[in-house]
Parts: sequence; structure tokens; C-alpha cells
Amino acid sequence: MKWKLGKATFEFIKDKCSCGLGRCVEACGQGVFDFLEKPQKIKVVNLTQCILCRQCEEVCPKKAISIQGALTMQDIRMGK
Amino acid sequence: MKSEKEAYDILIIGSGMAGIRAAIEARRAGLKTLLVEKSILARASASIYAGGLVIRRPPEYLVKMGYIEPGMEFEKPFDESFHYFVKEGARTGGSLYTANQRVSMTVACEMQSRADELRDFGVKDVFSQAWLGPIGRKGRDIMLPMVQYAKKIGLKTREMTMITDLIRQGENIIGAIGFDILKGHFMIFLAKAVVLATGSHGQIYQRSYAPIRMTGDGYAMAYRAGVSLSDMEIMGFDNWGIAEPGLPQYWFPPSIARISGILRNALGEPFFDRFAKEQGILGEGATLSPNDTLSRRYGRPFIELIPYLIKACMKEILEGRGKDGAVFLDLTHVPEERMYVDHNGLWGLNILRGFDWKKKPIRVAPICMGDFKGGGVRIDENGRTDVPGLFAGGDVSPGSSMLYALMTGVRSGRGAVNRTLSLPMPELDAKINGWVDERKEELKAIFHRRRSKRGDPQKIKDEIKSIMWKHGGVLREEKGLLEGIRNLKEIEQNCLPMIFASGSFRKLREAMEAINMVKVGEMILRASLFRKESRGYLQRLDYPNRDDKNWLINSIMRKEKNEMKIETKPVDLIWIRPGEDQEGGR
Repeated sequence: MKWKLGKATFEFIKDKCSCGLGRCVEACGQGVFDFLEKPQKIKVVNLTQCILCRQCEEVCPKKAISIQGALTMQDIRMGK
Repeated sequence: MKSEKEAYDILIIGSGMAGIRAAIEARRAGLKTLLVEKSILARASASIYAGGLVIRRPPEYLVKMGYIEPGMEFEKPFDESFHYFVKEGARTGGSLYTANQRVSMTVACEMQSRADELRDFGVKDVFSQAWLGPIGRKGRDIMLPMVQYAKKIGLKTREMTMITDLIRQGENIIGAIGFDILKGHFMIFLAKAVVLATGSHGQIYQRSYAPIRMTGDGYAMAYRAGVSLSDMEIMGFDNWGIAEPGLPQYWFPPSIARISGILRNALGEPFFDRFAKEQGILGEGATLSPNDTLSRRYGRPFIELIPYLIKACMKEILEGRGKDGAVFLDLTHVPEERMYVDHNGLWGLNILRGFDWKKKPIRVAPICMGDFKGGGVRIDENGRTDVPGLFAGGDVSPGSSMLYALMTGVRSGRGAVNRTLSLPMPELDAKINGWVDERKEELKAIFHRRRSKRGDPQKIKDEIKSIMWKHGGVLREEKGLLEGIRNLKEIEQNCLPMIFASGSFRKLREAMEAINMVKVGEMILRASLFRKESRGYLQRLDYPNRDDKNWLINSIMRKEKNEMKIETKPVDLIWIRPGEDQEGGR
């Protein structure tokens, strides 16, 4: 599933999500994810609170999350 | 629930900056050390989100543009940095005279070497954090190499294990109990020394951008173990955050754009000009020009303006000139390039998600991260609390900031090491064994308890947050504080006995956090009621002025016979005293 957050895109690939630990839930300081126990799975529940810190992406062992396209200094210099 | 018992020389609770640094100190001494974290290592801490350690000389173009705020620069003479740290760097709730200057000064003497030492841990760029990289991730470039280093030197860590209580046997702390969330085991940890590094309480307020696990567990644990906490009333709101529906509730970074903005109320009136004149806070050379940054406009460094800005915003909201609990930050007059000049502004744009700030003002409201606070578990300059065996460092102690956490982390770790060397491994006596069993049964009861309407931990948390925001927030007064205490007591009596985890250990963690939050909330409200003046970030409507004659004291909170008892201690001012500070202390 893909969501647009301003210029950035937040992607959560359900089929890849399989570690069962919920490291993304733990790493997110904003409470974007919820950990459902029976059956164990991750749910994106509060995407409005995402601040694009990319911690979830970094801790996911299965690469099921990707956040791309946030505005960077380079974009500005290139006049985007 | 299976029980497991483990024994260590040193037990460290919390894996933020202070915890990791204390752990490194313990491991360097070759001691058997365990670091426990209720979430995953470092990632759930506030340190990850911290704005970096220190500010090096900022980029030349910003200096040229005249946008630079005074701050700590290590390339400046040591004196200046030292002065700055003791005054501002420890961020003791905007209250210099109740801050423990002895602690700030002792650690400040070491700051250069502590910062340099980070290079040994593999931190690449110690000084430039504040200007490079996207905000919200700056602390991670320091934290992650430190975690790697700690593991390399043999630190044993235990993630997803929540500590619920410290074990106090007689006059000493001899370990802690808790539960392993993944395995579902009840854990008993014995230790010769325990370092508390659980961070602060930011999540206790409705308007908060603290990471969600910052629920003040350390304060509550320490309180239940009879440890003294000081100045719990001086808890700060350090910022204003975005309050637009559909956008994250997060602070607006202090970008050039933000500090060029104009605060307006619902009537469109630029209220801070009026407020600044009324309160007499205009500094020398204040231009009052909307084109200048706030510090030039009002003639004072931004960091000194913050408490007034927050207070003014809240006053407008309370007096009915806000909109949906917010005021407006007008950036429509700000030239676009100010938004784009640094990473902070850019980050702001990313969070705004296409909100057109050129067309309409943004709704903002005061927000708390749990830093800028003068309260916490009382420590001396060696990280010792007033109960032997317990040490504390970082945000759980009175003070806050990455640098403060780094330095108190070292002190508390070293204090723990010194204590350990002279002691045999403690053993539980029969009485404490009984207490441990009782606590285990209580946890089991919550774990197995079925769902009910009143006992949902998440709902209880939300309720505490709204009570605290309403009655213990930016501006407080006796009536509200009393009502807040009453409301919390109601939760304690009606909801906590029903609190359930319905067979989930993650929910059990949530439940224990809620129980801790009620206690921390009550401490903050009671302490605020006690101090009959306004000081730093404690702002009372019924006592609006600072009263150095009667209230130049530390309030000390302790549990005695199941009651919260507050007594006072004279402040320990060894350096800057009221009237002696040329720049006008707070």
C-alpha cells in the first residue's frame, strides 16, 4: 500500500512484513503503527502523525517499509 | 507466568544517551552489566530525536544573514561554553536558581573531554550535528555508533523487558523486577547498583511530541521506592507545535522561517507585541519590525523568549482569543528563501505536507517534549540519589539535554562502578521475597483481567493526558490544580483497579505505563500547588511573579506512609545567585 505525505511517499508492503516482532511499532515515536496480536501483524493506523524520520524503515529486517521523496536540500538547489 | 532470576554487578534501566553511556562506563570497568529497555535499543528514546550535542560555529552564510542565535560553540573560549551550559545547556526548566548548579558545574567541567571521547565510540561528526542532516534524526548519528561500541565491549542488553519496580531492601536498592514482553516471563534482577536512565515524562500531556514510550516510569518507580524527587512542578513547555488537523502534532523546528513569523490570535491581532510591552520583556535594541527574526524584533535571544512566547500563546487561548485550542503563526510575509535556508525549515515544509503557508497562517499551540524541565529524581554530582544503590542520569534527573544526559550518564555509571567494588552480591530476605511475590500476583491479575469499559489502558492514558493538559499545563492555578488532583484520584480509584491487559504483554506494558502516569501526574500537580509563585516553566495565574524571598527553595517530594510528602531544602547556589547575574538570570 502506498500513501502520499506531501512530496514524500510512504510505502508498506504487506506481503514482506513477516518478522512478527513489531520493531517498526517500537521504533516509531509518533505511534503510526499498531501491533495486532492474533494473528500477529502490523497495521498502519495513524499515518497523519508520521514525521518522515524513517526509523521504521531502518529497523525493519524484511524491508517492508520505504519512505521516499521527502524534500531535501538537493531538491531546493535544483529548483524543484 | 514463569519467574526468572538474574544477578549482575550493575543493572541499567533505559537505553537512551544516559543509559548507554553509563553502561559503557560499567563495561569499561569490566563489571557484569545488564542494560534493560522496555522497547528496542536506543530507537524509542528521546535521544534519537535530540537536536544533536553541541553547536559548532554555524555556517558562514547564516552568520552573514544575521540569523544566528547565541549558543554553545566549542570553538569559543571554554569560559563561554561553561557559562552557557550551566545557564542554558542543562535546560533546567528555565529556572537557574533552583537548578542544581553543583551538578551542572561539575559535569560542565568535563564537557569538552566527554564530547571528544565520543570519537572513540565511532561517532563521526561530534560537533556539526545541529546543522547537518534532517531534524528528527540528528541524535541517531551519535546514538547508533554508541550502541555498537557498547555491544563490542561486551555489554549484555535485554530489549522488550519492562521494569515495573525497584527492589528496596531496608535502606538500599538491590535490584528491580519486571517482565519480559516477548517471552512473557516475570523477571527478578539483583544488582549491587542500579542506574535509572528512563528519561522523562513528555507523554503525560495531550499536546506532546515526546516519543510515545516517554511516560515517566522512572519517576514513578523511584517514588514508590521512597527515593526523593525534586522540583516536580518545574516542568516545561518548550515549544509550539503544529495544531493543524490532518498534520502531525509535532514541533515546528526553530528554522529561520519560524523565528521570522508573527503570532496572531483568532482576531488576527499580533498579540505578542502587546504581551512583550505589558510584561516589560523588550530587550535593548528591539526593532519590533515584522521583517526581523524574533530575537531581533524583541531584542533578546530566542531561548530567553521561549517561556514568554509559550505563556502568551496560552493566555490568548485561555482568554478565548484562540481557535480550537490554538493560535496562528503567520508566515505569509516571510520570503520563501528563509524557509529553504536550512534543514530545519525544510523539515518544517515536509511536515506541513503541502500546507500553503504563503497563503494562510498555520495553527500552532504550546507543546511539551518533557525536556526543559527542572524536576526529576534528585541526584548529587556523582549521580547518587538519596537511597544507596540507586543512581540516576539523563532526563530522569533534574535537567535535560543531550549533553546533560551524556555527562550525567558518565557520572552515574562511574558512581555505580565505585559502589559495586566494595559490595557482595545482595540477596533477597524473606520479607522482600514476599513483596516480590505480591507484585508478581498483581501483574498476573492485570495480565489475565478481561476487557472492560473503564479499564482500557489506552483510554486511561488519554484521559490522564487531557487532565494534565487542562489543569497542569502551561498556566496553572489553585482551583484547576485541585480539580486535576481530584480527577486523577478518581481514575486511580475507579479505573486502575479494572485496568486490563487481556492476555497481552504489550498491553501489560501499556497498563503499567498508565499506572505510572497517574502517579507522575499527581506529583506534578501537587508540587505545582505547593509552590506559590511563578518560576521558570511553572507559571501560576494566581501567583504570577517570582518570589525569591520566600520561594528560593527546592521542593522535595517523597513517599511517606503512602502519602506524598513535600518538604523544602535551601537551594545550592554555588555560582550564580539572584542579583549577581549581569545578564539577568531566571
